[in-house]
Amino acid sequence: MRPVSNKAKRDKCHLSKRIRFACALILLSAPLTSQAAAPLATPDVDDIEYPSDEAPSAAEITLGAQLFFDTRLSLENDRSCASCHNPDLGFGDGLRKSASSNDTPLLRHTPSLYNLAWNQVFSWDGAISSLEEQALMPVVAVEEMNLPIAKLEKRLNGVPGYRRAFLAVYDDADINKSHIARALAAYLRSLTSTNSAFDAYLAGNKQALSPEATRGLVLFEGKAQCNQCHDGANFSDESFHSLGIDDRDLGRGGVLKEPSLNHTFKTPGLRNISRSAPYMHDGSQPSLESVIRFYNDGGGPANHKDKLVKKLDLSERDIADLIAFLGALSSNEIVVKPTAIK
Amino acid sequence: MKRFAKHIIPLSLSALLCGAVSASETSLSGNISFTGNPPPAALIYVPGKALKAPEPEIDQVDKQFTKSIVVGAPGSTVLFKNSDQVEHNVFANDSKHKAKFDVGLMQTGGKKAISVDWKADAMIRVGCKIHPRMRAYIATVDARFHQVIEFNAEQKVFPINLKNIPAGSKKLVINIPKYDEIVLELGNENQWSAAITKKGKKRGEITIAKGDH
Repeated sequence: MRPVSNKAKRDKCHLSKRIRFACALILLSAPLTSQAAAPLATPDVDDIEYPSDEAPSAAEITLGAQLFFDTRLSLENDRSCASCHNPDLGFGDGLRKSASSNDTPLLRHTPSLYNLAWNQVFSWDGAISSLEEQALMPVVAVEEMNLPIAKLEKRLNGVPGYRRAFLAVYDDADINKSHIARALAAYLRSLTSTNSAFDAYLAGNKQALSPEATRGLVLFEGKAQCNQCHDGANFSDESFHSLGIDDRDLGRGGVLKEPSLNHTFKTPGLRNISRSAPYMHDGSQPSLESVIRFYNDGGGPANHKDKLVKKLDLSERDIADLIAFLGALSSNEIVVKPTAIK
Repeated sequence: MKRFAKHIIPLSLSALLCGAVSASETSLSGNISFTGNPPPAALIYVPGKALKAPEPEIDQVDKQFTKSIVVGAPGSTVLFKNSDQVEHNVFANDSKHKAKFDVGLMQTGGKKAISVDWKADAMIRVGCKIHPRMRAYIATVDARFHQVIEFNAEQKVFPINLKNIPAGSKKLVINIPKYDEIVLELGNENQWSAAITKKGKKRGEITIAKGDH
């Protein structure tokens, strides 16, 4: 089922005066601060915009997986991408903030990697505009894997198995930065979650959601107003908001040098969200329950808080129902960790 | 990805200026179809300087641009408006065509005109720095007679209808962002067809004939 776009919905409102009147009533009854939310939906692979306009081959994805789990992509051979993006932890690491290469905490919480294939910008502040660029960023970052590109290329070119694999995929025996990024991005784009209980519900199986989760869905789009930011197929407007969390991180404002956007961060998607605790850009919320209570209390105390974030007056049952709904956004992908290539 | 309902904007300057269709004018009609999901929009035009440069407007509503493509001829202006309930920050950064602008933070009710002072023959992508999904294009071409077709995922075939174009028009250009440009040599033929390709791979087909069908 393809969601009807907001514009299409508006166009339907033009069909008759009666329907226009009904639309006006709906608009008048909406909270003044509400925004038009994209319909919740199942992600459509046809909507993925591949850089080459073609889905990657199975061989390219496999090569990307080899790289993703390979500790040789770090200077000290002691961490791979999967060290922080652990598939057993929803491609997070379960930590408030991951440890840097010198064991101090990184600036921000490690985000999950599910459904990045549909994203336009990456990282909490949206500073990165392609998955290929994002894929190499932690590899070369001094505080993360700390492996300069030249050393990365030399190291991989010294592994016969990699030379064979890159030759087979890219028809090029010389392993270079571009192909490494493409392979990693191909794997990242393959990390999709599209068959949760909620997707079965959307497809017509109304028994797929428990009564609690069904009530949670109503709250998600209603009283709790979660879908004001967590909308669309991946439960993210891909926009930037401040939840009132009081820290020095300028987020999107720092990227754009725009003070009015200081302390705003990209809305994370919610697919498989129950697996990747803790939450928020600073990892300050240990559980989904604490996240919902945080919102219920009106968010954080900082005065840069988005006007959408306000007290919700949720009951204890409402909170439990919302947790049940968020749990219904998990799917059962099997992630196979490859053996090291030689 | 943004999906619009069908929205066709036929533009005929000669009809506006001269009234009824004359013997020296003709129409082109046909359809455009895609094998998979269609792109957001296409611009179809007969090249030539407009008698008066269009000054298009693009509004922002529900975190979307209201138009996917506008024709902003070289030297014209494009007006951006914000009728949304949230702030936006429209920008373009196309180094190849030297199209770089940033209107800054635009509050609800705001508007800002941008001069089209970059290289001609370009399809400039416009975005919002706050809402990365938003996307529109300014076609910087002299397109005296043109039609913008907004596609949607619910249908595969979309009508083309260009009215009141000069009977002796030599070319018809079909420009779809990120797709290969198609230039049809009109000559003395009465109908034309061409494959729509993206990086050389077929993605659809366009068929056009003289007259209204």
